[in-house]
Amino acid sequence: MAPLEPWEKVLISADFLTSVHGEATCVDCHGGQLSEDKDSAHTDLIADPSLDSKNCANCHEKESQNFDASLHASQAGYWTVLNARSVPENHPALETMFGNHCASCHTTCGDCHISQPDSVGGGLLDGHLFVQTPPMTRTCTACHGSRVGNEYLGKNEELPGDVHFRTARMNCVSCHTGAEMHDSQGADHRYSGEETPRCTDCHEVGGANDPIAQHAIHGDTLSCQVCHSITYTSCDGCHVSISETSGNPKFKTDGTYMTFLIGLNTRQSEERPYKYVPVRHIPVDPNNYDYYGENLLPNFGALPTWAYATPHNIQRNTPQNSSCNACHGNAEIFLTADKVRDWELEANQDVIVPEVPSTK
Amino acid sequence: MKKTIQLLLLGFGLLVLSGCTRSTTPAPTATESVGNIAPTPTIVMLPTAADRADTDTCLNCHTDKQRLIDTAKPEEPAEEESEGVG
Repeated sequence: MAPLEPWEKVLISADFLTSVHGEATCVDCHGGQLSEDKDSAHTDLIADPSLDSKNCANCHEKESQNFDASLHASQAGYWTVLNARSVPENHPALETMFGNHCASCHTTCGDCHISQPDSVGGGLLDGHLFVQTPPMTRTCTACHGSRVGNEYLGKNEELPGDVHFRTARMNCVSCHTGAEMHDSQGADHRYSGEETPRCTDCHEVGGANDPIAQHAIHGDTLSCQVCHSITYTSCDGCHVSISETSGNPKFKTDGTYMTFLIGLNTRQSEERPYKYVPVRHIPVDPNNYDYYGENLLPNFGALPTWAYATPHNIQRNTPQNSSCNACHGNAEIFLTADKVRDWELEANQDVIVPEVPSTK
Repeated sequence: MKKTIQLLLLGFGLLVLSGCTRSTTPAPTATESVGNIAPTPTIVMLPTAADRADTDTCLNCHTDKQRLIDTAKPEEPAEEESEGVG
């Protein structure tokens, strides 16, 4: 959506003043000074009081009690992979890098329920009214846009949007519940812990009444997306630095392209038992953080660069599920060693499919 | 005689029912007993939107579109320095 005008970002509606949250005075939550003078009024202003979730916990205890540890707030997923690829002596440099380039994605209660996230310029969603269900394109895909948003909404050229959006206009919270957003159940990565949401929460598959025999045949060997997702976005190296002219953080990615490749599941667990999953190239390379120090990712090969993916462009019918041999024996859609750059082979040895399933 | 008995019964009934009426004895006040009596909640009259605008100076500006436009700092369009998809 178009960026908000400066006045639009901070105009408070009359409805807000008669709402429950409007009962408090401005300074109760935002600090600052009661003054007619703009500069004085804004002295010591707290633009986002929900940066401290305790301010919301006074009334919303259940939603707030584990929010600080949730992945949206803690961004623990980033540190899980940074730590795996690095060593403790590099952490100070990585922390500086993280503060400059990654921390802006930290999410507060207000970033979903009151205003647009800072990463897209901020601004009140609805005249400061507290919005119970965050609007999809102004909050969720404002951040998760370049991959998930484009896939789900059908913004990738010549590729249809997700069937859940196209046919049922389901929004993000139709599957990703508030409870999931408010509490990550201790997970340190979005693909660790319980698989939420699961397709089978709604779709009964593999049972006696399932007319699709392939569901029972493949069982847990394939994740649902292996058969039901279509081409999605992959990216190469995201190199970060500080601009010499403006002093602002900036990045440069080496490339963005469309892929559909099936690899081995390196996150196999009771929750994710699949042998095969779609894999997406993630924008990591050994030199991503060179601006902050030399060789900050000495264990680069510890994690794959072709990563477990759950593309958000689900279709009932896809090229690979059109027939048995659209997949079986079709090396084009499997991540085989010849598709991996030499310097990435070590990192992806557990993802590369050594032998494509034979034709039927 | 029958009428007398009816009047007596009526009088007795009224006497019994009178026991169900509220006691006229004043309840102990807070100064007399501070035992386990819960504090009486204070009822605060919340200001109306109009009242608020008088006392909460922030609202004078933040509910006035034209004033926000007039006082906004001009935003310099930031030059995009990043390259590629974020």
